[in-house]
Amino acid sequence: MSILQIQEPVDISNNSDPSETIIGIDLGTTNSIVGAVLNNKVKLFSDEFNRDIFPSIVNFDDQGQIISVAKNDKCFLSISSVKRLIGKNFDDIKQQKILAKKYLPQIAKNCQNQDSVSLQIAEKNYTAIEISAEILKFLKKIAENNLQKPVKKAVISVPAYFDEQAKNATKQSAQLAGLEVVRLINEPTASALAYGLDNNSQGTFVVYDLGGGTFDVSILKIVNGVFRVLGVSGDNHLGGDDFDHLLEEYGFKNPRLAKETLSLKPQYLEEHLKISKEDFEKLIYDKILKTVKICENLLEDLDIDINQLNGIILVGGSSRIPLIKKLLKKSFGDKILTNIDPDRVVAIGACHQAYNLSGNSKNLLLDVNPLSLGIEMMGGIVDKIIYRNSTIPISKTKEFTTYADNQTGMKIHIVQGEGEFVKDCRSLGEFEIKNIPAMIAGLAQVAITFNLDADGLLTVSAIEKITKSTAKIVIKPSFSLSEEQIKEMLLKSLKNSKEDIQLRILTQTIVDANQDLAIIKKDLKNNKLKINSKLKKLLQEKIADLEFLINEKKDKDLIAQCKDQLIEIAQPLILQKVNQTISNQVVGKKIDNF
Amino acid sequence: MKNFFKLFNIEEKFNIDLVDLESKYLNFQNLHHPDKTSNKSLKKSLDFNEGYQVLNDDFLRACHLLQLQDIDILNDEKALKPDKSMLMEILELQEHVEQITQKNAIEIFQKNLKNTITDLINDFNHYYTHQEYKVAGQFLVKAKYLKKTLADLKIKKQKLL
Repeated sequence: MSILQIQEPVDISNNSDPSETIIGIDLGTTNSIVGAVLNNKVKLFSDEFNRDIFPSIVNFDDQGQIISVAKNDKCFLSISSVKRLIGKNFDDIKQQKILAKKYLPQIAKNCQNQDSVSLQIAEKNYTAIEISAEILKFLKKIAENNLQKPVKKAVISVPAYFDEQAKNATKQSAQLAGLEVVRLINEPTASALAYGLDNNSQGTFVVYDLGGGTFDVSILKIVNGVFRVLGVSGDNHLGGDDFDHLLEEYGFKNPRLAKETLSLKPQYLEEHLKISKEDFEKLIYDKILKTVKICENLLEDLDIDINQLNGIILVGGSSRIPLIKKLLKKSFGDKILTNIDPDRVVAIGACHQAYNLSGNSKNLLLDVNPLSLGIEMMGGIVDKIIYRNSTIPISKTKEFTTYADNQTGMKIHIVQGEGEFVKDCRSLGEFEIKNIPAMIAGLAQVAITFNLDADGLLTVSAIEKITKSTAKIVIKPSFSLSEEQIKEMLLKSLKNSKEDIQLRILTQTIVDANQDLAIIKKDLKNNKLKINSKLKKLLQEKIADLEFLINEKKDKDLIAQCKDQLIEIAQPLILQKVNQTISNQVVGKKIDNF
Repeated sequence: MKNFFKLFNIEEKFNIDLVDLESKYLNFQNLHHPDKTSNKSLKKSLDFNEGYQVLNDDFLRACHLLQLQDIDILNDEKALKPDKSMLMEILELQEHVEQITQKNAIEIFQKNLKNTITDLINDFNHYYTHQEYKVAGQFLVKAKYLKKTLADLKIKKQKLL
């Protein structure tokens, strides 16, 4: 099979040829859809059987050859839901109960812990990227048949939770299929775009997206064709599969059918096992409640009042469960918008964004970064540079200085997360700025700039202002923290919050005291300054006291007090120094130059 | 130092028209966002994003006004040192926050804190308009600490759910 034809990435700035059609693709776990905007309208493309929704299934024969795509053919083996495996390694699969059960039997025997997953089908091995590419090739062909011309570019929707690996893997699949990805659009954002444009809506909307494996929520504000994401949140491991799993544990052999039946009818019967709608709702209540709480928390984070909401858009097959509407109504009032097709809305949004990026449209989409970015400071404290839910592209610069005299280098450690200390965040990388000219601590100025572009790609650069010495690093933040990790981080930061503020004050006090100590110790050795022996003795005693307290790292008040006393005693020294500096500068200068 | 008031062409003062600000922001982005222009420079889009974030938030806007007077309480810990009594007050508050466990109590506390912060920012504005920048800044330093406490409370409440 010769499918490997990788195209070189094309410069994005060439995208604005208005005659070229960029297609929109919803590459779904269960189903996939393709379309484009034609004559100002979204057209979803159909195949010869008049279908516009295609199962994300690839069928193989007993030689491991692909025989068909998007058909429920009887064959040796059918692979479905390959999206679950995209960008994942063997360890990831093993750790997730539901995934492990479904895929472990097929995973190639030579697959190791950190390897990206490949499946063994008869005699052949396929990576998830290759299988996904088969679906994309099929969609591309459908589009080309409909448009009667070749298609090269696409906007593809991805879950908001997709990490950098999964996003890259999706892009690679597209390359294998001969498609250049102009932009990956987050699924909830695509839904809002579709809803807003098709209904000509304005205002603030919640997009509640409950799929098979994940839950995403976004809040968007739509004003005059500008779609601004205000914030995103979610849970990477909560979806319809969990409900299936609960029904399976209850004893049902066909949990999916049970779930779908119970969304429409008051009970479900399988052989001799029966479950009522009420009992099903009790079973899944906690999980649904959790999704509602995640929405409430996001609203609170963004300081948005429920009264400001114009509507809640439900997306994803699992959002059809009636209990969801019931609980959302209880929390947010009767604002649920149902005049959209939850199966097609993501694809429609992807088509709109494809059209926006082909230079034809008046609409604009402004997205956000989901987690805060910062750097490590002395004492392991995180200084946040870009806060979460900031609109991208964004650039922030902050100035830092040296901590010790004659310090010639500075290590810059970049972290991601909401914790106050480095140990509670995720490390993204580090680099060093060198050749800082030797000078007194606190004089050097190093400006550190965080740049986050419209695709969420982070670049960090540093410049030392005197020598113009520079250093730079490009980082792809992988937004792949699990809900458990996030919860753990939040809990930790709560437990520590009182300790935190006290530790912070202590750390700061010590940093300050050390700086003053260094200066005074240096002055003591400076033979240009006149110091009588009595003063010298007093100073030396106080310095010893202060050093002892600093080493103890216990009492911030005592340290501060001792430091103040030291400065008090050193006052005559400081005055002398100031006078000398001034006279040095005055000597030989005209009065006009002041 | 960037001056975001100049960037948006609005008067340099605390009370501004937020609706007007939003419409200006969206108009600018419609012209300068990388998706809308072939100009490769991101600079303008970046500046408008940063500027809008600052001006649209009461606390950040107040801090920016002080920055323009060379007092940067956000980035320079030493710009204005909080006095000890204020730090003690904050610590006591933190201790108090620790003892609250009921959702309702947390919400009442949050509301009170928000009101206090609003008052502090109004006090800031009073002294700011009288050009007493350092006095004005002390109110903002306190507001900065209270905002931290507010964030802690939010985490605490979200943990309860």
